[in-house]
Amino acid sequence: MGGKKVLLAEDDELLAALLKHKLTKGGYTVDLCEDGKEVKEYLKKTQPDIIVTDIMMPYFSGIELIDFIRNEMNSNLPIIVISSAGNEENVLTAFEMGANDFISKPISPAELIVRIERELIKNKFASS
Amino acid sequence: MLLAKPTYKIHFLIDAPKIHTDLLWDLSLLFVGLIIAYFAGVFFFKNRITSSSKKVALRKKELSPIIGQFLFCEDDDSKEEKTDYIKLKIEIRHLLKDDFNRQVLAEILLDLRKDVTGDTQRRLFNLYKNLELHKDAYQKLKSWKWHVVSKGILELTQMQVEESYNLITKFINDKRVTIRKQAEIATVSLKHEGINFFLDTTRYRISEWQQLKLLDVIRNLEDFQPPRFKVWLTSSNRHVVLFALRLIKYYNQNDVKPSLIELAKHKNNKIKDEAINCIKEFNVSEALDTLQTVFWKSTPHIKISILDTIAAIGNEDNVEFLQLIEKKEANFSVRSKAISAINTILPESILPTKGIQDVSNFEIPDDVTRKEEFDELWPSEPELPIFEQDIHEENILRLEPKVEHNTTTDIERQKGDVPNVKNIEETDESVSLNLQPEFEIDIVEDTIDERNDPKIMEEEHFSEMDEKNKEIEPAYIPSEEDTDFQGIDLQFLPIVIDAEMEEEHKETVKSKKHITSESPERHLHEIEVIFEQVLLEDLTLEEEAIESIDGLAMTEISFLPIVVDEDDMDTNISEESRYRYSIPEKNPENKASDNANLAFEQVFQKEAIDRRLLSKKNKKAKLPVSTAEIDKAQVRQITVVFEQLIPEKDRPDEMVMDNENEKMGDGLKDLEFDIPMNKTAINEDRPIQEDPREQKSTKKFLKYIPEIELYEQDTLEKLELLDDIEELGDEREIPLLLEYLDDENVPVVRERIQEILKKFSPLEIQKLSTSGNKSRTEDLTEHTSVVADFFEHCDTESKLILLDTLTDIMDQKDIRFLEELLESPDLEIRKKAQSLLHDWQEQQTIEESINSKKENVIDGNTSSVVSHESDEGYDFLLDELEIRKSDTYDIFDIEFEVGLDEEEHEHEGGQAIAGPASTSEKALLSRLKFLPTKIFERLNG
Repeated sequence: MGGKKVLLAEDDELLAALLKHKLTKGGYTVDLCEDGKEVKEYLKKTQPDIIVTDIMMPYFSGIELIDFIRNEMNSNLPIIVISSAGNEENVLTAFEMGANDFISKPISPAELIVRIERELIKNKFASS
Repeated sequence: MLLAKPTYKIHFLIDAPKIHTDLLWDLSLLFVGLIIAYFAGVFFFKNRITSSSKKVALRKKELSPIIGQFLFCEDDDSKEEKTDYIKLKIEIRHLLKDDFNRQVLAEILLDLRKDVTGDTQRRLFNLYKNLELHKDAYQKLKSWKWHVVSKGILELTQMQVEESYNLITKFINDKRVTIRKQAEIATVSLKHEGINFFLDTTRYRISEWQQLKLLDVIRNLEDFQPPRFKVWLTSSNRHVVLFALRLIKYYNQNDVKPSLIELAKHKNNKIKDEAINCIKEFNVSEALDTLQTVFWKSTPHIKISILDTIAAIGNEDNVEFLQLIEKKEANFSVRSKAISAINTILPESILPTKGIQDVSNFEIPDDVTRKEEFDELWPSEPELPIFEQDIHEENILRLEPKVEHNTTTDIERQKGDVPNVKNIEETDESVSLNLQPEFEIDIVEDTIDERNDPKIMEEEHFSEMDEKNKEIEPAYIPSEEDTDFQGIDLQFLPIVIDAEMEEEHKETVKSKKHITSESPERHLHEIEVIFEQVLLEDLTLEEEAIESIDGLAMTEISFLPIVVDEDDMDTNISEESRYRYSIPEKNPENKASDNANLAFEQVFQKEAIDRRLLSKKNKKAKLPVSTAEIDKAQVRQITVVFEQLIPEKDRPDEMVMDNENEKMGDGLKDLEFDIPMNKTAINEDRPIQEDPREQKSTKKFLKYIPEIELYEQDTLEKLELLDDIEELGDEREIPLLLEYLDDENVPVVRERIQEILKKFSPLEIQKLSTSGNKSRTEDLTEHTSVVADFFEHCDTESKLILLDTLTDIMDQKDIRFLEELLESPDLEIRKKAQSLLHDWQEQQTIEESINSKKENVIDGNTSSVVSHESDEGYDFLLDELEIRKSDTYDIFDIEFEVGLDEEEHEHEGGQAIAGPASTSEKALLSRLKFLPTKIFERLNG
């Protein structure tokens, strides 16, 4: 999975930096966005291989972002949602909107990598 | 100054006191000034806080990538990454000198702790400790400000600094509530035994909220084994007792019945209540008498708890007590609970009495169809109508009795079973047609007295129910003539129940009656259970096969394994019998059995063990579970086919086998071994008789069987160790292997070591291993000084200590490092390095002279000295004699042609650059050569 581009949308700078470092070490190219607006701008210019997004973000929540990607962009990009613990309702909504997977905080970076890999494999099979 | 005149008239006791206008102005100005100062202060502090938070945020942004790099640094990282890591480490050590940075770093780590889990979190804790941030938290504990201390405890708890446990436990009985609570949580979460310490030592109140938090902490502890909390039921702190009771209930520690009964008498209502809850939870029926005694002196809340418990665990004996409460208790809630408890123990024994109308005077209107006519029209039971509450008395239906023996209880039952019946009132006459004829009720005015005798009611209720059902039965089964309902809407008709089902229903009702009137446990034992015995076919076949063993030729069954339970194996089978018996057993007691050799085979594979089968076998006690139990008489007459023939070996063979078996242990139970016959004989203490025919037949096969090599126990262990090294080790094991090789005399082990060395090392190392030269291998594997890494991060004092230490362990690889130190800005270190180098030089010179003398004695000329197996002294001697070495490349050989250009080049760089082994060795020797001159030059400036 080396060299795949991951878009990480996370408003918590510390966590974002940590995850970016781990993913980069895992062989991914990581682009960071701090809010939903930035993600939209990014997606207009670049096409990542997978999106990892927090649900709670400024301007546009993760759910709105999924809606934008699925319905306005008509994209089947794999999306993994990061949610706070016990935020079941948001997770369910995210799945309804078309999220592929979710991981709840506190996050295990190693687990995130595994989930990303799995989604990329799934997507590869789906597209082939 | 203006004259202050009163501007209003004085009206004593009516008007406001006179105040000069000037004073008012002054006051106004003062307040305006204060307001401005206040707002200025607010503005100033707000700005200060904002700017400091901005500063913190900025610094966090700067430091967070560093943290990431620190957290995910692995051993297998690239060289660049490791270099970056070292640089970062140096950088961060500089940063940590500033308190602000330390504070920010601690905050970052605390923030990250919430967001990450697993291995990353563990690394985060380690990093926190490595950066020594916990020492700041320790400092906070010494503060006189409660919030600082509390923050320190929280920090240490969150970062799991176990070392702080002893410091924190001191705060458990702190008089400041916040600190105390924080300390309690820290104590419980830092160590598993923290809960014990806390419950033992706490003298203060443990609030409900705190109890919940502590329970939450305990629940989330990994691998936590809860202690027996009953120990703290005797605590003098009643809050501890209460908490212990709750923990007992939570962890279901139901071995505290006597204590619970005693605590039910506690004067503290909370403890009493919790004890009663535990009694109910653990079904402590022994406590019923105590509860009844305690009841009368309790608060309503406790009384309700007691009644609730009696309802749950009580029996018919408690009904009388409950009835007494119903009569005597003034509190409505308690009385209601008592009735509810009675009804729980004896269901429907007390029925509703309030708001029940007297239906004895009710009359059925004349125009209502008579029953006979009704039966003709509606042969089956119609659906029960749902009646409204507000109904006029004129329209009330009168139901005619159908059964003469109906009593007052019958009415009760009907009311109870069919609640709608109590409101049998109709507004519409036509609806009366839908009334079911079976539920005719005799109305008797006085129904209250009998209600108090539940037993009578119960018996009558069920007996009459049966009779009623019997009567109803015919009505449910319509005749064939009546079943012609084509074209009629039959939706209103009831579901017709089969007579057999009805019987079953009756039985169910009866059983329900029993279950509810008596304790459930008793009835569980009284339930009649019919067992159907199922004999599995395979079991039967197995038994038959073995029972009829006499009729079988052994050839037919020899393939069958004797299946043995693992549990029984240890007790029933000797160690030797674990192996497959390939050589037949001979019984000297019976000569006739000489020809009857048996091939036993035991299979201990777990998959092969059928416990079900074994238990069946054991039950029957017919089948053998081990070879020892096999009936020889049956076996003797069987012709035995040899599966494999192995001649009797000497005793030492068996010894080897035994040793191997012991070492292999349980993990190799599954393996099967062929062992000599004499082994089996040893097991059974019988002499062996050699069979000449057997020997003859086996001789021709013997040449194909390889001779068994026998090793000493020690040798075997070494070989095993070498196997492990081969499997798990890598080139780092080479020095160790070489050591072994030098010490080892056993050829097999030496061969094995050389094999492994071949595997681990390139050709050069292999050569070296044969020569047994250890020192060169060390040079090959390590090129840098052992102290170089430590040296980077030490202060001068530590560096000097390290150099002192180096004196004892110094070898050639340290010379380069010492030479670098000659250029150190620190004078002391330069001097130390110089002295060390000087010592080393002297030592080398002595060694050289000794070696050269030695060589001269042996060979008498210098040519004999030039060999590959020389040591460092030899190399130096060659250098001194300016003898050029062979051009053949060998990494252990040192190129002796020291070019001045190379030397100069290295000097230009300002410091020596680590290169390949040969280059470094060359540089080292050249440096050594010119070292005294260099030192002299340096000393003279």
